[in-house]
Amino acid sequence: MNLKFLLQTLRQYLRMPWTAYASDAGDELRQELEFHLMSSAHDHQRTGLSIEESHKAALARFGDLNNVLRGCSDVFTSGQLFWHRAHLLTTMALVFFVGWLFVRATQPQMIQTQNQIPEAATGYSFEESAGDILGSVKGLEGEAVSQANVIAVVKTWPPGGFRQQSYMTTTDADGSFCIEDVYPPDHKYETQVSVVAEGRLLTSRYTSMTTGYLENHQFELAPTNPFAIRFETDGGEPLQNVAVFPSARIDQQGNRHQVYFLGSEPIVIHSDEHGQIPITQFLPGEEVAVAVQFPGKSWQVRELVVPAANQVVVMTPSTFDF
Amino acid sequence: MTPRLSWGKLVWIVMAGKTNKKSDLLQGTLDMLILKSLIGGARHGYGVAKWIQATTEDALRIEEGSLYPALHRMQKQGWLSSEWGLSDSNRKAKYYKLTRTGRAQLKREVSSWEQMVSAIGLVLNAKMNEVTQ
Repeated sequence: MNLKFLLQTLRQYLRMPWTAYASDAGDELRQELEFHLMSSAHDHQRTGLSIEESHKAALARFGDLNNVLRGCSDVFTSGQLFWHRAHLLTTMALVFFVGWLFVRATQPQMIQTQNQIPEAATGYSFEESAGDILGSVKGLEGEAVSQANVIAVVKTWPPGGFRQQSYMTTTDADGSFCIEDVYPPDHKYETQVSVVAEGRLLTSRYTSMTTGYLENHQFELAPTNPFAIRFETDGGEPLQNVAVFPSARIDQQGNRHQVYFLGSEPIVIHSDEHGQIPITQFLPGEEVAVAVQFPGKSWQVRELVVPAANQVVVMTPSTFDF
Repeated sequence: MTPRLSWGKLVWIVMAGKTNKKSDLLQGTLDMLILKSLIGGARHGYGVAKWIQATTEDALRIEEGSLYPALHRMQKQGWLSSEWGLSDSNRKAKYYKLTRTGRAQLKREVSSWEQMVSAIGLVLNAKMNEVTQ
């Protein structure tokens, strides 16, 4: 087997299909053998044999015609056989390789599907996410604050990535609240619980990276002196339907109380036809932030110092661009 | 010693479905006769058969059909080339011609044949006491 022979047979194999022998080379061989037999018969005829006898003699001298045809066919196809089998093996190998790639690509998903356990929003199983956020909201006199918005944001670090979920509830008539199954006591988590109530100070509590069950949150919300924000165009026209929610405040001890943007939707209020909106969660003189969304614009945070009670702060879209 | 089958040979047998028949004595002899018959010029298959028959004075009567697989194989190996032409009887015939590789091959075949004949001659001419020693 030399390279020249291999290349020659490869060229033949590529040039003609496997069955070409019967039509091309087969025709040539038939002509060649026909010439042989006719010449042989002719020579026999010269020795005095009849046409029929001379043909028989030529055939007898020639041997088994089928064997000869088969032998020549074998010679012709022997080279192609190599390439044909190489072709088949390569094709099979490719098919297996593609199949293997397919199985490999789909197997992790299949395993994942098989092993998929219903997962809570914490990223852990429901059984592991049995931590409840409980508490109560009262005034300074101990009176229950009902219908206060309680917004909880829970951060967890399950396998595969960080999760942050927000939950919202309102306090009952006795000022108590309960948000069930929101953190995994056996794993690390963080919580931020904010309370936003009408005429009460925005108050929040942050619990940093902890495990175990949380103690009940006891909120005591002091009353506030409401002020108003009026939204106007740069030309002084009132801007209706500006979305606002109290975002943050810093108390006298320097603690920051805030509402995460995530989960703030229930406490969003909108300016009226006069462009005005009452803000009732801050004390005069406090440095606070309100989140504002002018119609058709993105949310932005506006910081301000709270004016005296019942005063009005004017905001325009062009000022304090975020 | 058990004959060892090399990986290359095994792959060739599996892929091409062939064993190496080069060492086959009969095939080698037939190849040599065909190559020799073409040394004087191109001949068609029937011409080759007739030449061998005439040259051996009918002593070697080969089955004429067996020439053709051999001719085709030798052509594929590059020892012969062929072309269609007209015979003496004005019929279309395929003529085979010896190539340079074919000539070299003939030399090798003849040399190998002579070595074998010489070896067999040595055996046949050996005296009995030499053989038994």
